[in-house]
Amino acid sequence: MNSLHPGLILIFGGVLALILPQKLRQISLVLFPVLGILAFLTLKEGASLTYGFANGIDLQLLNVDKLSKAFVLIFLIISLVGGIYALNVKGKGEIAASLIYAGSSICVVFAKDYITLVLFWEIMAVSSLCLIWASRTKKARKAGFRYLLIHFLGGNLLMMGALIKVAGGINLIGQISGTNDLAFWLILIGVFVNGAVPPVHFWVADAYPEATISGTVFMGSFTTKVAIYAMIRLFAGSGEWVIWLGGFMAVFGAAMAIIENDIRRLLSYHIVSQLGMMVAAIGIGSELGIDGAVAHAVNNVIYKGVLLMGAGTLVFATGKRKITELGDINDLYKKMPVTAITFLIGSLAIAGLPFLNGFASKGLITAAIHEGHYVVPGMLLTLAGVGTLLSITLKINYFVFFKNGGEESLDIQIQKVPWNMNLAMIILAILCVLIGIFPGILYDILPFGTDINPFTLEHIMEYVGIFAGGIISFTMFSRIMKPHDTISLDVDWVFRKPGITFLMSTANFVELIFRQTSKAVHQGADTFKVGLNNPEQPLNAIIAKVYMGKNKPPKFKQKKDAPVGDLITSSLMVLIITFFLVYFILDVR
Amino acid sequence: MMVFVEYLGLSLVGGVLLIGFSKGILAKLIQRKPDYYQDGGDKHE
Repeated sequence: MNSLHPGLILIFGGVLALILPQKLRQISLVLFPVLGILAFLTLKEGASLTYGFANGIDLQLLNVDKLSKAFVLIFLIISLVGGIYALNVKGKGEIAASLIYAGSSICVVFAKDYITLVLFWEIMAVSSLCLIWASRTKKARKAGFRYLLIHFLGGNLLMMGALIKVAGGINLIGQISGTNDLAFWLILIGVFVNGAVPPVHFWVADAYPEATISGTVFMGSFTTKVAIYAMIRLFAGSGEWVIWLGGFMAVFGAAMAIIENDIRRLLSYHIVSQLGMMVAAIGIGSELGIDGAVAHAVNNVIYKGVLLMGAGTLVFATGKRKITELGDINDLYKKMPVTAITFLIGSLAIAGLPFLNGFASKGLITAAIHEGHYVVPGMLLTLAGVGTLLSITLKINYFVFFKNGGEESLDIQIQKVPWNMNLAMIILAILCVLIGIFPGILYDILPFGTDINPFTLEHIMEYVGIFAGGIISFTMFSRIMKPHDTISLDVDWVFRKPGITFLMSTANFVELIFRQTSKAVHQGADTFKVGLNNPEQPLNAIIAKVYMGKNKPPKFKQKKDAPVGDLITSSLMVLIITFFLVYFILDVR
Repeated sequence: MMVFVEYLGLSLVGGVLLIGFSKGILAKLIQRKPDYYQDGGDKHE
């Protein structure tokens, strides 16, 4: 039975947005996600949609099960809320890219075969690139180029792995096992690029802050979560090393966030940390672990959405993006109360405060860790949790919203925040609270239907302890925690410093070779031409060189009035052309 | 109560270690002035 595909509806909406008048184009940001949600509600497990592609290959566009439905549902919700947030965006390219990006992400999740997966994976990369370039700054252009390079690398590795699978007769996506399999590694690295696994994580912090304000919200929701989905679908339970990798990612992202000054870069590093928790849960591979990873991905889209929207709103209203600059504005929480309150809720949720949504999903991951007796990775995840509390909940709220700027305070004009931006943040903040109080809403959509009670005294006391310890250490070191006007180097340094030097050196070397070759060819051609014009001259030169010994032979001078030479050249050309005509075309052989 | 004390201690020690590592070691290694990339052909505003 063929069914309506929510992702294709969004992609269609994106293409249509390119030709719609401005008002309708802006409305399409909300209209098509609503249509997508309606289509989603009609989908039943096992629904199919097939499209004949080429050489007998069918694109199988729908793979509807509980896992894909959980991801698609949250993608549609964030498309709608993100659309509300972006309602005042006017650029047709940005609106189209947002819808196509959301649609292609949904198409990747619903892809049943490798070719469909790769096709929409690449569309996702290109459309998200448009969201970076849509901000039209020099920094965005360069960051976008680096984003393009790393995603083409990842996409190509994924494609090679997928082609190996297809050539081996395996068209449909499923668990890949066997580390001796080349396709396993190619697909794994391709997915790791999108999953921001170090050392290929840098593009998150490099590109996300340079995208447009609403573009960052979309980007923070899709690419990395699609990678988490692909990891669950393809590599769940691949080995204990994945759990360790996840633990390392979680701590690394939190540590980078602690020293970051750019608010959107800080949140981007935090995406890496949160992904680490999901990767660790996927590495465990148990039903509880998988459900924990899915629940955390869903929650992450919600609270990270609030946080990125809040950061975007700050950039929009103040024109500042550094914590050191935002902190100089007195009483920002009074000037932007909706942003301050929703950001606070999002930041408490991400840290796992009981009765907010992060608590519900972190509880599943912790339970999976305890169940598998992974003591050290469990400690790493707890450490990352403390890092989250320090870097977002305490650092941003304290230094940006609630601390007065003091004597050096800035008295800048705060731009009024449009109603739609406030509404979008409020919706997501309400979702944080709603899922936090009624976690059953979340647990119901999980693939294995895990239903634990997160509100046990032990679990609550665990997080109360983490919060108390984090607050005490922040209070003790609040002066050290104060951000400074610096930038943090990351792996993108390789592209920006030695990479640029290498590129310039290579370009100079190639240019030198071309210049010298061109010069030699021109000199040879000149000599040949002079020789043809005055055949006796080169002959004389040779004779002179032979008989005059070390004496310099006379230099050639092209005779300008040498009709005889020109005649010889023309005759030779005519002869050669005639020969070729007769020999090859008339075929007298 | 034991769980609370256990996680309080863990997060306190962890928090201090994390701040020490990030601000003490990591920051020294990788933090640069905002104009660091200017001479690399890329202006970091």
